[in-house]
Amino acid sequence: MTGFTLWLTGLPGAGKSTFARGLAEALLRRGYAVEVLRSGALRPVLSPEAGYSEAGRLQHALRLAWAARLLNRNGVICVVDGTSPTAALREEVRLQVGELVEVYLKTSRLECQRRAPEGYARAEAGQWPHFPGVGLAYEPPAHAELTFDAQDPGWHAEILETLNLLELLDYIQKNLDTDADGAAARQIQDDARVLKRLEELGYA
Amino acid sequence: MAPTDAKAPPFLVLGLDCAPPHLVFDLWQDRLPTLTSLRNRGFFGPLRSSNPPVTVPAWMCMMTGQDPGMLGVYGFRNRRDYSYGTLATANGDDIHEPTVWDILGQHGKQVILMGVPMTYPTKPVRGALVACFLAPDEQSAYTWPRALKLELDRVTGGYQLDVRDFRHASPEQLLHQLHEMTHKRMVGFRHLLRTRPWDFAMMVEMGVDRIHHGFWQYMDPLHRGYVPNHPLQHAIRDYYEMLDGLLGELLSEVPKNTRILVVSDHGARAMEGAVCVNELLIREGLLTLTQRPPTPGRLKHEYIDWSRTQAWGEGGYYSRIFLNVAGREPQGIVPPNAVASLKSRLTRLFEDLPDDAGAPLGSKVYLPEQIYRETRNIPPDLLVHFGDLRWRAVGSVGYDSIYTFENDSGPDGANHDHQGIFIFFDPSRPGMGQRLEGHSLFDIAPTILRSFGVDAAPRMVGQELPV
Repeated sequence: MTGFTLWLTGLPGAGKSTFARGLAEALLRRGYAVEVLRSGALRPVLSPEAGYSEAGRLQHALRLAWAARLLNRNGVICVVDGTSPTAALREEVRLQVGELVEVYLKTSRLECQRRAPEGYARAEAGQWPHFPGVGLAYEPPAHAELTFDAQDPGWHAEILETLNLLELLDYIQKNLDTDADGAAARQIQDDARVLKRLEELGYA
Repeated sequence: MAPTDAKAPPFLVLGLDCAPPHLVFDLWQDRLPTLTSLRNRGFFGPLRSSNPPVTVPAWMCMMTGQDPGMLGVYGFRNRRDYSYGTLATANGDDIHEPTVWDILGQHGKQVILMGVPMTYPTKPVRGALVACFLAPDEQSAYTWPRALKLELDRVTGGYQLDVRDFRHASPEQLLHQLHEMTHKRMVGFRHLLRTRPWDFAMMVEMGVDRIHHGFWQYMDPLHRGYVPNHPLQHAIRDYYEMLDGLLGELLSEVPKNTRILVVSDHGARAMEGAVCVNELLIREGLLTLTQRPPTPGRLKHEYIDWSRTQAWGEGGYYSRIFLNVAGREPQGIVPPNAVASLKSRLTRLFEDLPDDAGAPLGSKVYLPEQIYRETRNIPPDLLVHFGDLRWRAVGSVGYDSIYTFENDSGPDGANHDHQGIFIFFDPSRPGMGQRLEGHSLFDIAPTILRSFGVDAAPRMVGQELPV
C-alpha cells in the first residue's frame, strides 16, 4: 500500500491536534501504519533556524512535507498537524507530497482564542508578531478536500466523514486484509482493461 | 479566473487529436467559424508529427520537445526487456523528461491540464490535472488532486475519459457517446478555468480521433467501404461543427489577452487495407510457427518456433519489427554480425512490397538508430509504414493472404497521417492569417516556454515558431 498525507490547516486553537489524534487512532484501529507529524514539536528538530517569517514557515513546511512523502513511500499514512497559514505554502507542500488530502478546520477565531488564550494574548501584546490570525493573516483554502466548521471539540463526526472520503477516493479500504492482495490484483485488472481498450481502438 | 502573472498573458492549448489540415483548413473552413476566425487572425499551418505518428508518444514528444527515442517510448506498447513476453502498455510513469507544465510550474506558473495523453498515472502539478484515457476507468485516481474527480463528476454529471466498447457499440451509440463525452469534457474544462487561477491551460479532445477511426469510411469516397449518401456520411462533419461551437463558447470566457494555440498530434487519412506482416514474414521464411491457427487469430509467442525465426512483427497503424538476435533474445538465432544485412533484407522486402493489385505500395521503413537522436529503453528494430500509412499492419496469423481488408482489431475507417495542424493566435501580435510551412510538433514546447520568457530545455530539439 502506498501511503498518503492528511495535511491539516486552520488557526491556532482550531482543534487540529485533537483532530489529528482522533483520526490517527481511527486509522490505527483499522490496521494502518500512521504517523502524526506535529509541526510545533518537530520545529526544534527539523528547522531550529527557520523562524516564523513567511520564508521560515515555508522552509519548515517543506521539510515536513519531505518527511511525510518519505513515510508515504513506505506505506505510512501521515497526519500533519500545523497551521500552514498561507495558500502559497500549502500549494508548495501539496506539490512536494503528491498524494495529499487537505483538511481545513474552520473553527471561528473567537472559539480558537477561547481554546488557546495564552497564544492569542501574547500575539495581541506584540510578543509574537507572526502569529496567524493576529499579526499574520490566515488565508483560508479555496479547494481543501475537507472543510469542517463544527465546534464539537471531539471531531467525531468529522473524523468519520474523513474516513468515508478516504474510502471513496480509494486511499484506504474498508477491510485492510484485502488491501495488500487486492492492490496487486486490481493493478492486473486495470492493465488488462486498458489493453483491451487499446486493442479495440486498433493500437495493439 | 485571472492569470497569476500580469506580465505574461495566459496561454491556452486546445488539442484536437488526429485533426488533419485538409479538413480544418480546406474542406470545412466555412463550417468552422471559431477555428477559421483564429486562423484568419493568427498563424496556421501543417504540423509534422513524430515517428511514429501516433497519440503515444506524439503528445509527449510535443510537450517535452523530445523525440520518441529520447523519451524511450515508441508507441502505445513497448518491450520492457528482450524476452518474448507481452509488450507493456506505456503510460505516464514512462515519461522521465520535463514537460512544458513541469517547467512552467517550476517558474511559479499555475497550470490546468485535461485529457493530455500520458498523464496517467497522475503526477503533482502546480494546479489541477485531469488525466487521459490511459486511466483504466472513471473509478481510478485519474485526477490530481485525487478528490478533484468528485468535483468534476458533480459539474459534468459524470465525467467520461473515453468512448466505451468502441468495437462493438453501434455507430449510433458511438456517435451519441462521442458527442456526450466531448460536451462533458468541455463543461469540466470550463469549470476548471473559471474556478482556479491559471497561466497555462491545456485540453486534448480525443473525440476527433475516435470519430475518424469509426466513421471515415462513410465520409471519404476514396475509402474502399464508402457508400454514397450513407446516413452517416456527415457524422464527422457534424461532430467538427459541434466541437467548433463548443470551442467558441469556451473562448468567449477566457481573458481577452489569452494566447491561443490549437494543435493536433497527427493527421488522418482513409485506410485502404492491411498488410498481414507476420504472414509476410512466414512466407519469406523468416518466421516459423509450431502451430498455425485454423482461423485468423492473434500471434501467440508460445506457437513460434524460435529456433527457426529471425523476425516477428506487431500490428497497428504502423508495424514494429523485432529481430531474434543471438545473445540478445533468449533463443535468438540471428548472429549479431548478420543483423545489419537482415535489416537491409527486410527493408527491401517491405519497401518493394506491392499492393493486392500488384501496384507499388510505397511503404517506408525506418531504423530507430537513424531517425532518433538516441534510443533509450528498447526500440523496435524496424518501423514500417505500409503504403506510407495508407495501409495498416495486422499482426494476427491464419490468413490465406498477406493482404486483408478485415481488420483484426480496432476500426477500419482511418489511419493516421504525418501532418497535423497548428493555429496560433496572440491578440497582441496578430498573424493576419499567415500560413507557415515546414514545422513539426517539436517546435511547440519551445514556443510555449519562450512566450513566458522561459528558455527551452537543453534537450528540446525543435525551434520556436516564428509567430
